[in-house]
Amino acid sequence: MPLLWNISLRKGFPFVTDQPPQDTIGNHTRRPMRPGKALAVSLLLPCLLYGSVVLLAGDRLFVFSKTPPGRESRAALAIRDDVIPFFKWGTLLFTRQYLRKHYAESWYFTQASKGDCREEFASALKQALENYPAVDLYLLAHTNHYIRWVKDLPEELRSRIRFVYNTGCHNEPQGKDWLALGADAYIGHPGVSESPFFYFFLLRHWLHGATLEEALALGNDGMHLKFRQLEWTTFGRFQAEALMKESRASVVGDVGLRLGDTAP
Amino acid sequence: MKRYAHLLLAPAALLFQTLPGAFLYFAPTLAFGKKPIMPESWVWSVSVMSLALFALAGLALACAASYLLLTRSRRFVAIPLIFLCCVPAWLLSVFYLHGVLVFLVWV
Repeated sequence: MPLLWNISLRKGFPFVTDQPPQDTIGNHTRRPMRPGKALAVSLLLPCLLYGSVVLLAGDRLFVFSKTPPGRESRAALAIRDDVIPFFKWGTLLFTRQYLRKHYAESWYFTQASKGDCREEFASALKQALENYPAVDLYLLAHTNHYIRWVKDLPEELRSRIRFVYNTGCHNEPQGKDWLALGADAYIGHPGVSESPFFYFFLLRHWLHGATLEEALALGNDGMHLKFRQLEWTTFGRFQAEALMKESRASVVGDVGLRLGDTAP
Repeated sequence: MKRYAHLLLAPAALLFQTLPGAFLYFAPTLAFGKKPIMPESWVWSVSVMSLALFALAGLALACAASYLLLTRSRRFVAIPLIFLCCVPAWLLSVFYLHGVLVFLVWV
């Protein structure tokens, strides 16, 4: 007879008891699995499943990665337009901490209606441009014209705008206007885009030190992977190539820019 | 009934996953609905902390359920229950956990 029959929660996990297995019938009383092996299986399986979730997400892990140099000389502003609460919530959860970690100062705005936060945004942008040589803008909104909010700022301040990412549909052509206004680089999408898929990859890689060109390529590749997964799981209802045509982001301006480059 | 209590833990672990599901459904509305009741400055902290708790509790429940099934039940009972209840509970929990780690900029 085995010395140890079982492990029971009744005496506190994982104390050993001499109780036989409780759903045994007749002579089938052998212990199904040794406690040590059961514990290993029960801990290993979720680890494997975590690995599969990471693989499915399609992006590398940046485990406790360091912030690229020059944090003290850059700031960022992000603005989310008035969409359904779940999108506002998800964008905030994903974006806020990335900006806080990688920029000396950051501002995040969520609009409650069209045109909301205009004064606060303009005021924060002015403050950022006055205090930091490099300011990045994340315009996380559907087709938008936030560029109008920036036009009124003095030229010498506007020249400190470094990188602008715009998730808006059909906002790719704004790139030349942002460059004319003083920005160094701009990324936008050409059509009715599914930009959140791209943004996930872009933000992570750009903030971890990739050049805009590299982050753009990784973002487009990652987005393409998501679209293919979507096409596969919906049995072709979503067409990956059609989605890519509308969503493939492009960059204008200084494509070799890195987060650590602080020169405006 | 008491003799089979350990069999109930696996369905309970799966059932527990309705809680983070409900949280994902209600939290955005509490924060950004027409009448928000959570200040925006709290949203990130409260949401990430809640998701982390749900993820860890879900993992612990599913691990305990799997362990008890493997040690106290015959395999033809344990394995289907683990695949039907523990694996989905694990998958959802590690999904939330990965989300939390990404939001914390730890991975």
